[in-house]
Amino acid sequence: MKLRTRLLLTVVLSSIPIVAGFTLYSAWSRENALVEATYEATVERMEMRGRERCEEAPEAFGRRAVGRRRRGLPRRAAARRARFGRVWGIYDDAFAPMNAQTAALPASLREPLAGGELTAAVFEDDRARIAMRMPWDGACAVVVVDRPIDSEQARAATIRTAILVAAVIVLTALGALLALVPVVRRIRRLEESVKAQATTGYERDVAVEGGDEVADLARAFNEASGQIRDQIQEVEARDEALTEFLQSTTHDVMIPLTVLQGHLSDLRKRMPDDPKVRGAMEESHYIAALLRNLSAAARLDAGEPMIARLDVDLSEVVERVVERHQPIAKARGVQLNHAVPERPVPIDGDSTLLEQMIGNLISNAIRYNEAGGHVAVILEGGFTLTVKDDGPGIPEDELARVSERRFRGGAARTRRPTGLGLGLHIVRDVAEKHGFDLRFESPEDGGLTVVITG
Amino acid sequence: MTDRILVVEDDAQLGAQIKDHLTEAGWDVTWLTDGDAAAREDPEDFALIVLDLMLPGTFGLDVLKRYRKTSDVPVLILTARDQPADRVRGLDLGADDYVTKPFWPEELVARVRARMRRPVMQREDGLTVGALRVDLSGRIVEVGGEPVELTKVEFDLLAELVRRPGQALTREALVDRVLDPDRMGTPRTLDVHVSRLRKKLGPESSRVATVWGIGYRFDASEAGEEGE
Repeated sequence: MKLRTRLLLTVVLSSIPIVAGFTLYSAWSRENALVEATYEATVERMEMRGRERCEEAPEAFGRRAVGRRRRGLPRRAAARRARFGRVWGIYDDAFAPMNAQTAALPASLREPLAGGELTAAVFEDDRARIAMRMPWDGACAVVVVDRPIDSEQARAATIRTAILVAAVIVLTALGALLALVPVVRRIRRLEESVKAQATTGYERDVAVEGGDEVADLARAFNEASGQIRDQIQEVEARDEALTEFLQSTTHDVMIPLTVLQGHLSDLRKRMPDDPKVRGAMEESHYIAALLRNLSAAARLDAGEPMIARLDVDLSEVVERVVERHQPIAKARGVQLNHAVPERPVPIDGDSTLLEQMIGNLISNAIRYNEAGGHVAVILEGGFTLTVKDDGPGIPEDELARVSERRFRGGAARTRRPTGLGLGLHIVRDVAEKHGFDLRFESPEDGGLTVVITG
Repeated sequence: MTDRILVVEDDAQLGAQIKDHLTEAGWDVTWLTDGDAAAREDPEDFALIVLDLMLPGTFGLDVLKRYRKTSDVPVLILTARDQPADRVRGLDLGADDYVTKPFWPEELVARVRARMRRPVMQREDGLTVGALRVDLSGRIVEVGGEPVELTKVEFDLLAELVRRPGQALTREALVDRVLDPDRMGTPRTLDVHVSRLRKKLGPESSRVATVWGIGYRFDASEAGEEGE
């Protein structure tokens, strides 16, 4: 539930007992005032003449309104009765009726007076019966008066009070909502700021404004994000150390591997037809490719910051990679040829990864081919790169699996002659990262054709 | 013009090997293992410098920077780091080319050969190789001093190949450039022209080589030299 809705609901719910309480209180206090006024008026009138007359002739008392008898119009008498009421009964100090018209005093009126109260009242719909203890003892010590009440007026007064109280509550609620506006706005700002923080890797703190709970919340967020930041930094540092370790290990292996390849190349000059020398060359070439692929895989996994976007002439990359594979192609007796356009083919990319992509395709084409086989690498100006061979090709189901994501794992380790290995997955990932289209084709006359378009 | 090459490589085994392979390929090689010593050399004494980037003493790139202040001798850098940024920094500082470890000796020799300042055997307007002479501007072809009569298409075809000796050209590119666009030229038509051209070239016919999966290439290698 939103903050504003909740506040409004709370105000409405809590205002119901308040309005009811105020209404009851106002009714009670109005009744009280009526009793008080009646008592004062009655005592005054009884002191003036009433007591005397009552004590003289109790049986005649009460046939008319309290007060001096006046000759007047019946209407005036009615008006007077409305103001002062009509004597309903008169009792002595032991609550015994003093004349024949007077009924016995009801318990509800007697008991409070007996208990020492000066007045006791019973309110009915349109009239109130009020019993009053006069400040003297004797025959006329208790006077009971009937007073009419204008019930319409009373109800109207009650409703007016209720409306007034409700209006006060509504105004208060509006004021509270108004006061809530800046608070809600600050919470919203904090929310946006926290969201922004999460997307930027918790690099910046959220702004802390003021000294209230919202500010405390912002500070708590900053503390939490500080911890997250520390953890991220720790993980990054560990990752960096690992990459650094991989890099330097690779570097340390590359030098002896180059020396080994030099020796093997010399050996082959001396023993051109020795299959063991040829095998050793292939294995060392494979190790080199594997190391490069591992390094490429690490960079592909690390994502964008590790992948360069630089001007690369794809022709130059093709020529370099073909040249690198020429010795191994010759050792295997596979003819490796290439064609590039006369003009450079400039693209934005990561030269190392591009070399690795093309190198893996050429490497596979040579590796799985037989002596006397062919590999052709063709780059065309609009940028279509084709690597084709007349080797055994790749079965359809394995081709389908190459395009699946996350196929590494088992496939990466296989060395089966037809296994795709880590190489083709790097080809796919590099093509994907550069936005190239990668297509495998199995021509009718055999072999495999790989087409990359950019 | 000198045949001297300076090799700066700190690894004893690798340095010795590079020296051997370049010497074998016919160059006069000086090998240094220390960056400071390399920085003291005058680059103008050499036709080409092979420079390892990871050196004790002065760092490889600093040596390169020093060389570039006084000389534009071709510099080929050796690097084992697989980061494109490293190569770009090397090329920005004026290196002409790079070779990534591990490499086959043939790869290094080919790179050195490509970067060497050496007299260009073929000129813009033609080439003479073996018994064959091609004069592009005069549109003359001779085999063993005897003129060979070629049709327009045959000559254009030979000229396209000769302009980029040793490089394979695709059938499609040759069809586009050589055949008359008004007549429906296909790779098949091209093959017919090639076979006629070869017949006319007689003893030099193998210079127009078929390249599997691509098309044709002009083989400009001298006798005894291994053609690529």
